[in-house]
Amino acid sequence: MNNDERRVLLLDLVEKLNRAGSWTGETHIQKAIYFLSILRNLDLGYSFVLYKYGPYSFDLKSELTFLEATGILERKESPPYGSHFSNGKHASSFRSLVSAHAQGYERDIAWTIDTFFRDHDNVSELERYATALYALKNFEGTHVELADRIHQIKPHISKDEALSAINRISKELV
Amino acid sequence: MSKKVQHEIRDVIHTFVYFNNDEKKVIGSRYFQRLRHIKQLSMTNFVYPGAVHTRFEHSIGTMELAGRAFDVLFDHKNRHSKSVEQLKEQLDDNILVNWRCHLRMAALLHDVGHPPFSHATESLFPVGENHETMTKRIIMKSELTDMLQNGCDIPYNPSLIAKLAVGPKYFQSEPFKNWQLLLNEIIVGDAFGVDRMDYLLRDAHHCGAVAGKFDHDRLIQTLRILLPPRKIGERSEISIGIEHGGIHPTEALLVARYFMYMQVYFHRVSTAYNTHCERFVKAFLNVQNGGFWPIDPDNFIKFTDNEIFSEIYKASQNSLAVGYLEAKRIQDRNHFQLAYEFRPKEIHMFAVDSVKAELEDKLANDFAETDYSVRLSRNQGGKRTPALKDDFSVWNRRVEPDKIEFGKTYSKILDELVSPSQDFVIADRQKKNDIKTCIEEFIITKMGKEFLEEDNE
Repeated sequence: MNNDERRVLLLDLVEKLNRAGSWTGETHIQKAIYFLSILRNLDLGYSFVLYKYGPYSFDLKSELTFLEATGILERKESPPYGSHFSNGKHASSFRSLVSAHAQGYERDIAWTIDTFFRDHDNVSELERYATALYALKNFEGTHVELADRIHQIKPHISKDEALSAINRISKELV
Repeated sequence: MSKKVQHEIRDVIHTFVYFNNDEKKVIGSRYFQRLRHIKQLSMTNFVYPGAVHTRFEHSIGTMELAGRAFDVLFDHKNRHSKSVEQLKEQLDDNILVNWRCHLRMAALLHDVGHPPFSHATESLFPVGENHETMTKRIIMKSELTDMLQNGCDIPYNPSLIAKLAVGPKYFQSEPFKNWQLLLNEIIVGDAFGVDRMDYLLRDAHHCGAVAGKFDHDRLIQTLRILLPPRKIGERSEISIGIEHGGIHPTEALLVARYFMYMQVYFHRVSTAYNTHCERFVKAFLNVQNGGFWPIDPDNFIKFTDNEIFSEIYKASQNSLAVGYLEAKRIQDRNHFQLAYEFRPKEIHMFAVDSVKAELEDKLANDFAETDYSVRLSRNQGGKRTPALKDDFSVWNRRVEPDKIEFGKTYSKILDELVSPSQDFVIADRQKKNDIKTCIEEFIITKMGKEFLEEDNE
């Protein structure tokens, strides 16, 4: 996927997350992009490490900062919680200049939102599922061993919660 | 006679910096001493003559602030009990002493992998390498590694020091525990990292840029380990926030950062000098080392600003020398000048690859004989576009002892600031006006006349 396609996809994702009632904070976008990369096999070119709230891409963070600085995305402070993203004042102008489109990925975005955001949009749940997915892809061991490892790295996720997330997400992975 | 256990040096920002025998030993190593010859702001001293300070003093200052921030964050009386629960098994005095030693050592070494002229020549590392990977390599795979493990009063863990110095991005296969993320955040955190605090204050001091100063003492005194607020039923992970009294120093930090980017870091003339420097070093390395900085630590540390500047001086006097034209530009102060500065409302055009490529092709065709450089934040993957605000948590314990909120900044000026960017074209002074006209025509073609009329309104 080239830069233009990736940016249009990000814009579409932000728009559709907002439309689905998601808070659309940075954590939501990070996790949605991670699910799209792994569960829908989209080659978005972001590398992820296990960080606060699960898998996180520093490259994606730079991209969001850049898109915010250029007015393509807008980030608004929303006390008492963190800030959230929406399309910015230059979003439509950007779209009119770019020849790429995200039509080929609409189903992937829709599936991701339906599966993980539609009814809950809960950051803790997103963290658990994304961390479980990261463990399944990057660590070796049985589901119970992976749950133990998650609990060691993220003590605020209990072993039971980690195991339940692994069992659920492994079905999506299949 | 008893052995001295504490040493001190004077520092222009922090008055005195104190350090122990182990830190003294590392400061004395050839890896660290090299930083005396790596200027913090590359060629910025060609614009701000006082900006000749080095990574050496910045690294020592960062160590000092890391220790101060640690002491405040882990002080019993500063703990928000619910937040520090996530660390409860580790809040033992012996563990804390060990963490503090590793944190200060990591802060001391966090920039040890910078190439000559710092960020100006960072692009000349081989693909996949940068100053952070070099820092990690020097800490974990050099003579310094042995010194840390076996030559100090306490056995340091080089891997932990490297983790705290460069962060999780460079340890993909080794997930960080929450306390490791917290200690790394003390050094390089987006909102309250002491690396940023020290370089802003130090750069402002040496450039004479008064607008870059802020009350860092007050800010550090208000740092707290906090759980960012979440909706009911959601949990969060500890990070560094502030007590309510730190809001104004935080706002001052954000404004100082904005002004430092506008006045110093993205200054068009220092950017021109850095461009000439980068081009010269590229030509020099093509002959010396296949076009890239060497990445084995012992060969890497042979290069400092001094060796390179000596080569620039020699090359400027010999028209047959490699890099002669760039060297001559630097020596004769015949640097590129601003041809066109993209306005904030235009920059989004160049987030589109095809538009950016079209402009670059047009300039390449129309000005094939002209020396120029297109600087777009987009070219650097957005990494040089600073975020103006990052979310941070605030604890107002006098009003509500348990509650934590996301910080809302009060100074309206912050709402008006546009992220500083380094989006311009610099060129040979003879042709800069022609390039300007060419870019203006390009923008009208792409966006239409209404675009300019809108601007006039």
